[in-house]
Amino acid sequence: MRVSCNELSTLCARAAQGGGCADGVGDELAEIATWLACCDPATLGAIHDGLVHASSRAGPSPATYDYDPDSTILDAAGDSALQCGSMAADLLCSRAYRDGHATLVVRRCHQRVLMVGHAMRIAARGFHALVDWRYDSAPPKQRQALAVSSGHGVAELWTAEGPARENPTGADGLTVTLCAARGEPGLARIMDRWSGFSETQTIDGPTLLARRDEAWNIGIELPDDLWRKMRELSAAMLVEESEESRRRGAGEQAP
Amino acid sequence: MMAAGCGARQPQRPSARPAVAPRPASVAMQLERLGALHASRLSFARSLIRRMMKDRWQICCLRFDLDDHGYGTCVYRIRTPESTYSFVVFSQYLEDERRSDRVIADAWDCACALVEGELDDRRLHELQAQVPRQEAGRFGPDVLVLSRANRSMRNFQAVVDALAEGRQPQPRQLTEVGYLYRTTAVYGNGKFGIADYPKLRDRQDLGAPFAAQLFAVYLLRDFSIRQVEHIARRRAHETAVRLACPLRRYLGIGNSTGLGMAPFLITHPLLIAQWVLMRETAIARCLAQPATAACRQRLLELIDRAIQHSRETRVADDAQGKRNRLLAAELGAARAWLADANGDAGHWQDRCRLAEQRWSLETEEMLHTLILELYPEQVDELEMFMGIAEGIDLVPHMEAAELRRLIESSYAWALAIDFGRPQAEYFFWYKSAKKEEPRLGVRGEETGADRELPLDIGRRVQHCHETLVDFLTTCQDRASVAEFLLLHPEQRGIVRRVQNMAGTVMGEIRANLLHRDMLPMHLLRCKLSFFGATKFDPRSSRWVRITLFQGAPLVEDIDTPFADDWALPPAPDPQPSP
Repeated sequence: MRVSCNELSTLCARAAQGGGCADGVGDELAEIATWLACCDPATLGAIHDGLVHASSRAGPSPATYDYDPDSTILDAAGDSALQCGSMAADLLCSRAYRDGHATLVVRRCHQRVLMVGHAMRIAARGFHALVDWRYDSAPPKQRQALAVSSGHGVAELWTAEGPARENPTGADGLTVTLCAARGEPGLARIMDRWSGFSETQTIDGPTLLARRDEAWNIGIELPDDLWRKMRELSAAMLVEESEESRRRGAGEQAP
Repeated sequence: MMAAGCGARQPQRPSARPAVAPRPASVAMQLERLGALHASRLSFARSLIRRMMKDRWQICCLRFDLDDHGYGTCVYRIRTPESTYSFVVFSQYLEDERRSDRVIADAWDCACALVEGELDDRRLHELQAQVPRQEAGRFGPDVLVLSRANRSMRNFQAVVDALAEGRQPQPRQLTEVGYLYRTTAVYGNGKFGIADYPKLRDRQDLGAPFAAQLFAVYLLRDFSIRQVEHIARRRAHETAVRLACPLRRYLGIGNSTGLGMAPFLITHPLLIAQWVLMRETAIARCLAQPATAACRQRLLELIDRAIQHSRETRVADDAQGKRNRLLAAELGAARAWLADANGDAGHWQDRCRLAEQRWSLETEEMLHTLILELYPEQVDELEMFMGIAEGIDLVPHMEAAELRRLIESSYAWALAIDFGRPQAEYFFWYKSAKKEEPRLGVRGEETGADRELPLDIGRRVQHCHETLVDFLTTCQDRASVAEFLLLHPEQRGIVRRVQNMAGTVMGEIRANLLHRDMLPMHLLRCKLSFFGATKFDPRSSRWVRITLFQGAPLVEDIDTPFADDWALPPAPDPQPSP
């Protein structure tokens, strides 16, 4: 069905809240949903899966982090990227602000493609951001998305694919690596990871802007089951009506 | 023609002192003060009318297919320099017992939509199937605004009767209720599939905040007048008369608003802070002007008008009635004081200090509103800055200690709230499953506190501060906000809000919205005053009836001289000429 951007955003935020996500996560999900819809509408399905995943758990898991010489490691403890993506993006950015570049490996994380939306948010903060994950196929492949920050306005989004790395981190299908770096040197550093991959899609800034404007003008086509799931989850925050609440709750009663 | 302000008529003397600073947030953002605001030159209804008159919008009723009872379809075409729009109204029979102002109603006297472009029969047919269903319908992005309205039971039939009998309704009756229809919801910005606001945002005609919604309301006012005249004519063709022009101008359009409007003020803090900042900037600019004899004379006229308007405002609520009487009395005192003032011009700032000391918030803010009328050249340009990009982002690399400092400096008001007292957390806000209507519940007495809406900014800030203080005692030096949130992800929303709001001049509305003594009415009035609402008529502490566009130019006034001086209209002469 076709929905407005505001409907998508509002419902994402409410569904995340109803699905037990931490306060504030829903607002960021609302933001990335529009970008995902503009970049690759198929990725909206991951939001559906992430919401189902989040709602099936008691609540966000206590994520832990550690450092190794090259990167920060975040253990999402089985959460969806829908739940831990904001946290991962923030941790990455705080390191990148300090050092000029940073790498973060997120382990035990589901719906990793949602990190692409967070890469767009990171790019809006002025960093180039790479998302890199391995997925099962025959033979296994490695997929990457690179949000190239323009420094102002909207980033470019490049996606690429290549053979899965040997001795990979992430062979478990639940690991995703994020890199962020500033400026031309930072981009060159990130691009080292890119070598050997074949570009599958490039969306430049003006195209992405045009798609966003189009979304504002004509709305977004949304899978029915995603819409239904979001409505179902957002309804969890609604309070059933009683005669008393109907009368008192909105002030029908005289003062 | 735009009216020149006092400042434009008088030679400008350079001010002998620096410009007046806007009032601080600690004054301007107090909920009680926001609940005493009045519509002003900066209100969106005023801006819309200025734009419409300046650009000479062409508004034409293309189709008026109503039966003898006024039921049927009406279509307008609107041409602005930028675009063409249509406004469609579907009027239908409604049993009296189904007529309700609540959001949870499911039928109305009329339903309407503002649509992009011209309508062909196919599109009109589609709209006819959906628009009367309102929230239950589904719409496309060519629909810009969706609304519905109920007839005023006190006025509608009486006005039809009078016109059919060949006489004009008594203005006294229209002072009781200044409209024929009352809207009960006006939807924009993507609701139910209609156009997102960004689609309109860059337009000159309807790009200002809420301009499209208010324009739909304005057109409904025109429809309401045409409709009563039509019914009267059909009932008594020989004797029926048209409504006299002064009475037509005196008719506005009503609106009934409940708690549904309140969360908006909390969930759009940057926008509200911007609106208040622009109003305060306008006040500061005007208070820095010299109070010349001509300006004082003009202000006396405006005070007289405001006194009469206040006396002619009828409300059901005793407390509001007392406030209105006090306003009229205090304006009378202000008038006497102004008339007695000696010839020394001075600045308005000095004179208004007296208002702060002596008079109620309603009077103080009314005087500010009236002083804004004196200087359109100082005020009107600020309407361009009433919109704002609302996107906020977390600043993850901010040191946690810096976040603590931000809270302590910008949210001292929140930290000062004593949540240990039971009345401090008396209410909780929630959404009902019935049409998602926002409601207030009493904690411990009503169900739903486990699904509380996060509108309790003061409490959340306080909790965040406590958590942060604990964190800072154990964390590494220079730990970042990102690290704080790793341990306390539940603080994410409030941290992001604090980081962004602390950078604004006005900041948050300073109130504990859970407190037993909190009046949601203040929130409603604040927003409605920025819309341009007048004649606030609280029906309880949680919903209010207001009037919009009373005194505004009519559609037929477009392309005639315009003085932009229609606010606070007095009731017309009892026997106006047609």
